[in-house]
Amino acid sequence: MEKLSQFQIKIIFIFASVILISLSVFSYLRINSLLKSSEMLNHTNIVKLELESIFSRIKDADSEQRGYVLTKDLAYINQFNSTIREIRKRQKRLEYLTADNYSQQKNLEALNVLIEKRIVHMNAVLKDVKADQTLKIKKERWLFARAIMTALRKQTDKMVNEEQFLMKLRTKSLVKETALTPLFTISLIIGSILILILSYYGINKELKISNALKSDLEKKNESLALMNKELESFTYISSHDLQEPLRKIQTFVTRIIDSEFENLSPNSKTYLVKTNESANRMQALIRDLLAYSRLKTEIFPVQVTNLKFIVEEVKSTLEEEIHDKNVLISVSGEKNVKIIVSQFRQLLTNLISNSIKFAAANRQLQISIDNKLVKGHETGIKNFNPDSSYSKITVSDNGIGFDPEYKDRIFEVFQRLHSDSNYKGTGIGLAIVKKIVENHDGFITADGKIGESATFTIYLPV
Amino acid sequence: MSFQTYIKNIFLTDDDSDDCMLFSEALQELFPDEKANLTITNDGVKLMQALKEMVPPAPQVIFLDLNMPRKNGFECIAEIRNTPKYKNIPIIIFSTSSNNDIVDKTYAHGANYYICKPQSYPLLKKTIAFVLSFDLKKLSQQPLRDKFVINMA
Repeated sequence: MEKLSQFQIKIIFIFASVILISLSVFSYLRINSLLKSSEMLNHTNIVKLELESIFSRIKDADSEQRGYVLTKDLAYINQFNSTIREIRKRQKRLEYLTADNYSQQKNLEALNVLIEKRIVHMNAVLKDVKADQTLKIKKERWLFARAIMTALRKQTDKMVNEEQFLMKLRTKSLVKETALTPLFTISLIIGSILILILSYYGINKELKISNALKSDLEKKNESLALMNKELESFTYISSHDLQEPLRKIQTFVTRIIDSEFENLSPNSKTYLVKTNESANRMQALIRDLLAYSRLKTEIFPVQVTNLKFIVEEVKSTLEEEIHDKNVLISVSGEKNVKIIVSQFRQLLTNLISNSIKFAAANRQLQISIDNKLVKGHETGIKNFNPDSSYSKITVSDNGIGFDPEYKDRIFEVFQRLHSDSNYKGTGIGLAIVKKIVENHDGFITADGKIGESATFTIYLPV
Repeated sequence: MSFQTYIKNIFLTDDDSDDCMLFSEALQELFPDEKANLTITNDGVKLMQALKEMVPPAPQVIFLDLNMPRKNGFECIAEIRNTPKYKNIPIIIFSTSSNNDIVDKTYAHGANYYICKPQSYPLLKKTIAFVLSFDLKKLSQQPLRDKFVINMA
């Protein structure tokens, strides 16, 4: 199996969570519909009960009316009135119960009309009997009442049937729904379990690979640490053991120059001076190489510092050369920079002494140092955050410049653009500058015009 | 060129015979008229032996190399500072190393000054002349850390 990307893992987990969420939604719906169907059953039963009870109350009222007609006992009238009140209550309740069903409401209206008709008829009979105790109710009136009762019975049955039919319909659709869900739920559960198992294997495999990579990395780290140690001991050897014989050469040569020089032939004098120069150059090389290699290992905190202050320090370090060559150094722009002070001082020293070294013979050397705040996107540097601020420090001079073709190469170790022996150097100075800028997580570029100028632009995070 | 010095009784301990020779010659050239008494030993064990045999009088200053066989410079400083008879003798480290950690370590051990062996003979002479121009009081006190290393370049 090829490597699972983080994106794929994300997709798998989103998929699994979607399935789990839909599972819970479906179970909720299922429980809900079960509840609903039992509620509906309940509702239907209540409506049926109410309908039956209204019909039986009307029958009660009917018999109470007959009782009065037969006995003229007023107790029947009281009984009759309370039954009517009960009927009215039930009517209201039915109205409420069928509020959600248009057809049943229509049916109820028809039922109410019949009930009204029956009550009006009963009241008329009672009224007539009250007025005339001897009145004999005609057969037609009884038959009319009977007809209303039959219609009522019919209407009640119709409503009960409709309610029952409705319930059947509803429970049927619910049953269909709920019958569908278990199958769906089970397939979802199986699906999600499958996904879980698959992703377990996938992730497990990834973990194994990454563990293997990790232990590989650890091994490499160990060997790297060992190599670093060797490098350190090499640094020590070059700092101590290599310098030792060199120092001896220098000391003995200078010893001869110091006290025996006049006894030498002109040729020997020249050779001896050249020997001394070479030894000094070698010393400078070793010293610069050591400085370069040490830059990697030393970690210092950055601090906000006044750029002018650092420039002044560098000026006093290079005082002699600046004075001898009558160099003009100016500082402008923003006051502060965020730097590793000791390293940035080294950087400026290297850049300024570089400018002094490559000064044009026919004009006064002017070095201008400027500091501006810019946004990341203005720098055009890919690795910078477009919205963050950066210090843009430019160090430019009016010296002999260089061909812009070499603007990248000048930062490489041992790269020298001027073969002319007038421009002495170890070829490490600008490599150190670049390393220092990198230690600041910054960026440096160089630009030049032959015979006119050189400009170094440094971007540092603020 | 002529120099004056109060310091006449000098020890030099260095396993490098060239350096011993150069030191001795520089001293001779610096003070041709005065009989400076230079005692040279080539390692720490021999230094301790010489001190045992010759003190008193104690040398007015010991120039001490660090990297030596048998007993190195650090051990020598510790031993000298822990021996009542010797503990006030000024010790000037005379070493090739300019490593800051090593300089710190010798400062902590109680060395009085630190000289990084110069790269040229005139500089060597200048450095020795500078140190020997100190009066005894200045030499026997440990300076602040930033004045500890003597650099004439």
